[in-house]
Order: sequence, then structure tokens, then C-alpha cells
Amino acid sequence: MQVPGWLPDSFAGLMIAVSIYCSVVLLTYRRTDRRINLDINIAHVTMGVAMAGMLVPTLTTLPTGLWEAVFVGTGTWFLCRSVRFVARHVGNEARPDLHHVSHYLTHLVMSCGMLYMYLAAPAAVPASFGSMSMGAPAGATADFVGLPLLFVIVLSVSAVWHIDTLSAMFSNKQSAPLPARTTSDPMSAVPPIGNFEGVMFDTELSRSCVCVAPDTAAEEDRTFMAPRLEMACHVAMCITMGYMLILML
Amino acid sequence: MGAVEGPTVGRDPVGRVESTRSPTARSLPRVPDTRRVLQLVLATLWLVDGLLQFQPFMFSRAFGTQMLAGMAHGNPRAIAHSITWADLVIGHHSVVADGIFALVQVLLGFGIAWRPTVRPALAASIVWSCGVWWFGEGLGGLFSGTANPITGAPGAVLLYALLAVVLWPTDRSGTTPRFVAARAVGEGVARVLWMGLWGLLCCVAVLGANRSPQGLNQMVGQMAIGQPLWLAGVDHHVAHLLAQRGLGVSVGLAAILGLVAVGVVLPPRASRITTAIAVALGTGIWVLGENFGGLFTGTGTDPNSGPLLVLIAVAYWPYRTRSTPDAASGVNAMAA
Repeated sequence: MQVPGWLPDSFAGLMIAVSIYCSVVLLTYRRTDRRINLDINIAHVTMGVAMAGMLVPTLTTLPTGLWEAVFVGTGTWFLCRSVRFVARHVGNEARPDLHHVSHYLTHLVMSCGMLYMYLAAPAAVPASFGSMSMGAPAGATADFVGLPLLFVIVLSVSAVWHIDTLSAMFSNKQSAPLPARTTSDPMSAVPPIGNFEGVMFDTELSRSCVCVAPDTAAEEDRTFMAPRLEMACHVAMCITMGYMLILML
Repeated sequence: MGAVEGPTVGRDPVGRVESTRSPTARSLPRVPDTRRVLQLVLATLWLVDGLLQFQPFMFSRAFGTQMLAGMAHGNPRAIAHSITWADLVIGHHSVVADGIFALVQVLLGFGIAWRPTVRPALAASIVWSCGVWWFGEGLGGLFSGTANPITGAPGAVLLYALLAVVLWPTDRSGTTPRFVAARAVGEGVARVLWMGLWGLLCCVAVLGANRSPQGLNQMVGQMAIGQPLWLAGVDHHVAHLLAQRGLGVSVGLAAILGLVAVGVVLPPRASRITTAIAVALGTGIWVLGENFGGLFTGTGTDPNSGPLLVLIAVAYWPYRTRSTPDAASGVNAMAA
């Protein structure tokens, strides 16, 4: 049983588009007076390129072993970010914004999902290069069929959450224009489910991002580069990875 | 995640920027709109359904001609004929049909999550659910005598439609609802829907083969086929426990389901207990009876009825106080 060829091709095209966009952002953000989430964009580029290669073997760029190392690295990075965030807020009187840590955890799950996909289908890897065809897990990973399902659920929740927030941003934009210089980190704001009166932003995350230099007021006032597009990219990543993981059930 | 888009923007002592659109904004606790959260859970379920529809088996001819067409068995002739015809058409155009099914379900998830399209998406989900219930689930086996609450009666997809109704984003003016589900349709209708659902499950639990001594034993035993070893082991163990005890267990289950059905008209404290029982039942049915909707077999099309029963129960969970900030915040959610 095989899925029709146009389906992986479409998803691969989507991933290439996301990777190109995020690459352009990474290359150009310094020239603009904008901030970005550097780690998030790098993760999106690597995952996008890797998934395109998994979906369409002719698009494979690196050997499987190297990709595995890359995603061990990204997973470790986001795990450290999560732990650091939690450690920083333990004992803090101000209530920690759980959405921040959930965002790190989502990318941790995405890294784990990528790693799982590479580890789960070694039998299908052609001898020459790192390309792989999607299918049921093989070998030891066959004992962990619940894992891809867990990943799919986390990714679906994240996608829906981001779509809701994205639509709230659009709705708010229509009702009242944005102030000229508002920080609008797409990855740091509280999801405005229901009550918009309580929407608030935590710039602490932004300050701690590797891309953000020192805690200067001027730095904080810099706007984020295309926050809505960054969220749309995240949704696309979630759906594509969810599709690929579903093939492994 | 949303932008601060009010007339003024202030900064709190810990460096946060917050909206100061109204003087009460800071003093009010940030209580999420429960109904919106439930809508998002529903959207997630639709999205997962859509993704599951991308499984390779669904694109094969067997999905339509064997799996779906099998739902026709035991139904009245006119219904069976329509199901067989539709499923043969699906089977002969399996790639296109399944592609459309997956796309529609993903779009329903997106539509419910995207605020401006909540209403059309929920309305479309009701139509889609009714179609799938007829042609894809054979009306949940209600007319073929194979329905059992433990295996997903009255059809998981029908519960999607029910949720779309009770989570409809509108509020009836002049009333203070006791639970989320009453906000859109009113307490009377919401209670009737609840009693209808759980009352139906109560009746079905003791119908036909469900009350035979070995009925449940065989049903649970068959669930083990194709499951991971650990889950198959649980199934075999449960089947062993149910051997020759079908009648007693079915009657007991029907009694509990009946209690849950009438729980919605009891005082809040008692109602809370019966709703908690409903949550526990939904969870138990999902794990032990439905094996997580057969998601581990590679042929599961949805998570089945367990999570939906839990979601419905949460929508009927009585508020602690009659005046809730939730109801107030719902106005904002509707405005979005």
C-alpha cells in the first residue's frame, strides 16, 4: 500500500518553501531593525530540509547519521532551554508563563520526532545515501509505536493553538491598528483564548534569545520580523511532520 | 502570542507589557474561555482525524470495498443498499476520495481553530458528521444490532456533530447557564441532548448480543488482533475477566449509564459526581473497549468515541458559582 505520489511531493514542496523563507529571514534580519527567534528559525530550516529529503529521496542532502546528530543537537538545545526557563522561574513570585516552556517543549518534541523518523526506518535506507521511504517502523523502534502517536497529538495541539492565536492577531488587527513600535514576539505572547483583555507579553524570553543582544530599551522596542509568517511556518511544520509520523503508525 | 493591540500599552513591574484597554483588565484574573478551549480540542480531534486519513491503507481500494462496505451488514435493506453503493464508489476512486476526506477533515480542524470561521466550520462539521455516520459508520450499528457503548456506539462521528451543537459560539440572552453546553442551546435542550445520548447508550448496552454471557468476552477478545503486545495482553486479560459474565456486566454498565443520564437534572453537587463518572466511563471505554480507537493498528480512522464522551462530559461540568467570569469572557470570544 502506497500513498499517491503527489502527496509527499506537495508536502516536500511546502517544506522547501518554509526552509527557503526561514533561510531568507536568517540572512536578512540583521539588515533590518527587526528581531527574530534565531534558534526557532534554524530549527525550521534544518527540519524543513530534512523532511523534504525524507519525503522525496531525490531531495536528500545529508547522510542519515549526520541528520541524527543534528536533531540530537537541536533536541538537547531545546531541552536545555526548557530546563533553564523552569529553573529561572522556580521560586519567582511572578507566575511563569507556561506558554513559553510549552513552546520549547514543542520544538523538543519536533526534534525527537525527527530523530524517531530517522531511527525508525533504517531498513528502508538505501545503501548509498541517507534517503528513506516512509513506512512502518522497523527493528527496535517497532516496540514504540505509541511514540509517533504522542508526537502527532502534541504537534496537532500546537498547530491548532497557533492557528487560534494567528486568527486572534488578525481579528485584533482589523479592529484596532497596532501601535507603531510594539513588541510582538510570536513565540512569547500568551495565547489569547477567549478574553483579549488579559493579553500580555513577556519580553524576558525575547531578551534571553540568542539573537537578542543586551537588555536595552531600544532593543526591546524593536519589532519582530513577520511574526504571523513565522507562526504560519510553524503550523506548516507541525502538519507535515504529523503526516509523516502518521505513516509510521 | 497575540499582539498587544489596544489603545494604550503599559508595562508591569516584571517587564511585561499588557493591554490597558479597560481599567479592570489588570484586576481580572486571566480565565480562559472554557468553551473556546473545548472548541480547540474539537479542532485538534478533527485535525488528528484528517491526518489519520493519510494512512496508506486508506488510499487502497480495500478501505472502501471492505472496511466501509462492511458497515452495511445487518442494516435495513434501503440503508444497506445506500451504504454499499457509496462505499463501492469510494473504493473505486479510493485515492481521490480519501484525499478529499483527509483534506475536508483537516480543513474542519483549521476552520474551527480560525476564529472568523468557527461558525461555518462547525456547521460544515455537522453536515459532514451526519454523512460519515450514515455511509462510513452504518448509522453506528444502531439498526443492525451490533451497537455497543464499549466499542463506540452510537458512532463516534455523531458525537462530533453533538459537540458542534453544544459548543456553538453564541450565548442565549437572559439566562445564566449552569454549564458550558447550555450557553448556546439553553439548559433545557442541553439536558435533553445529554439524557438522549447517555440514555441511548444505556439501552444499547443491554440489547441483543451485548447481554449474552460471552458477548463482551468475544468482543474484547477480538479487539486484541493487530494491537501491540502490551495492549493485546490487556485485552486478553479483560476478556478473561468478562468470560461468562456478559449479562451481569452489561446490566451493571447500563445502570451506571442510566445514572449518568439522569445526573444532569440532579443538584450541582450530585451532577458533578455523575459527570465525573461520565469522564471515567469515557476514559475506560476508550482504553479497554476501543483500544485507543485502534490507532496502533494502522487502520484507525479516528480516536473513536472515548475522547468525545469525555469532551462532552467536560462541556456539561457544572460551574461552581452561578455567575462565572467564563460567561463574561465568552462575549469577547464571540466578538472575535
